[in-house]
Amino acid sequence: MKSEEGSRYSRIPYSRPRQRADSQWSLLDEEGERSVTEGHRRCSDLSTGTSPSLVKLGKVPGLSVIPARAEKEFIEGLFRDFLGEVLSRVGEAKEGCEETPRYVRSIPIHDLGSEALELVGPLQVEVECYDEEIISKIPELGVWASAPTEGEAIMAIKNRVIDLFEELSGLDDAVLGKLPRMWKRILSKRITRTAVKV
Amino acid sequence: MPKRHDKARVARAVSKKAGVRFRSGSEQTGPVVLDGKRVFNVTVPKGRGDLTPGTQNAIRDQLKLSRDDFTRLVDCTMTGTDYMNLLREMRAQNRI
Repeated sequence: MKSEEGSRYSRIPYSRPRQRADSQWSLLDEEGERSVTEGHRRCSDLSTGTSPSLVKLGKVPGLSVIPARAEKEFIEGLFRDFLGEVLSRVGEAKEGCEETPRYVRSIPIHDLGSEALELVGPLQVEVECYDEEIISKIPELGVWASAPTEGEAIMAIKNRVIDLFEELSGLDDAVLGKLPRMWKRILSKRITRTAVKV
Repeated sequence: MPKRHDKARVARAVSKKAGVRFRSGSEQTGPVVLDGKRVFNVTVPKGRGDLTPGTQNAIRDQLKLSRDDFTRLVDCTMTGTDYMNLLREMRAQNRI
């Protein structure tokens, strides 16, 4: 009987009890002996056994001894919840990183890459480097372009500027809202047509 | 948590709800017209698949929408009328 109980407890990997000289399991507190005895009595009815540390719980009114399996499931549940929370936060942090550019820098462009149009002064292009792409944008003109490399992104934004300039040049101010009128003013000051036609 | 939207789905939502008629090109660009006036341009890449985060942010900025409102626009919770009313509010506040 004693050896059966001993082997049952020995399967439990935590809350190591101290084995007494009379081969009876005991807890380290002063009240341990009695509670362990009660615990043993209760445990004897349970096929799954009981953790020695939880034998004490048998003393709490209204709280019965928790079977080791239930305790294990409870702890596993806690661990799963904790792990789920950690993974969720890591995922959010990762997505946050993906959405935030690795770096942002401002580059002045001095030429539009067109022989027909000339830049009077430099235009500031904002370059945002993401993991998967490079975004070039001129927030003041409401244009952006995407490309795999910085050079391509800058070339693409130049084409956008040319398209915007050509588009707005042919439109009357009456059909333009506040922002397009502003873009038109900016572009008309910065871009001039050269004599050479493409 | 930011959601990545499908390019075609975004292009369709922008076209239908913002009334943008895209011009041809490597990336589709077109003006948003509010009460007969062009208020801004929107550029949406062609093709299929999810938008990359930078591109999605850029489109959202052009549409003058918050992250949630952009998701609502693409996921059909926000109608074209709702979006136009939102733009009218912005215009009244002198933001566009």
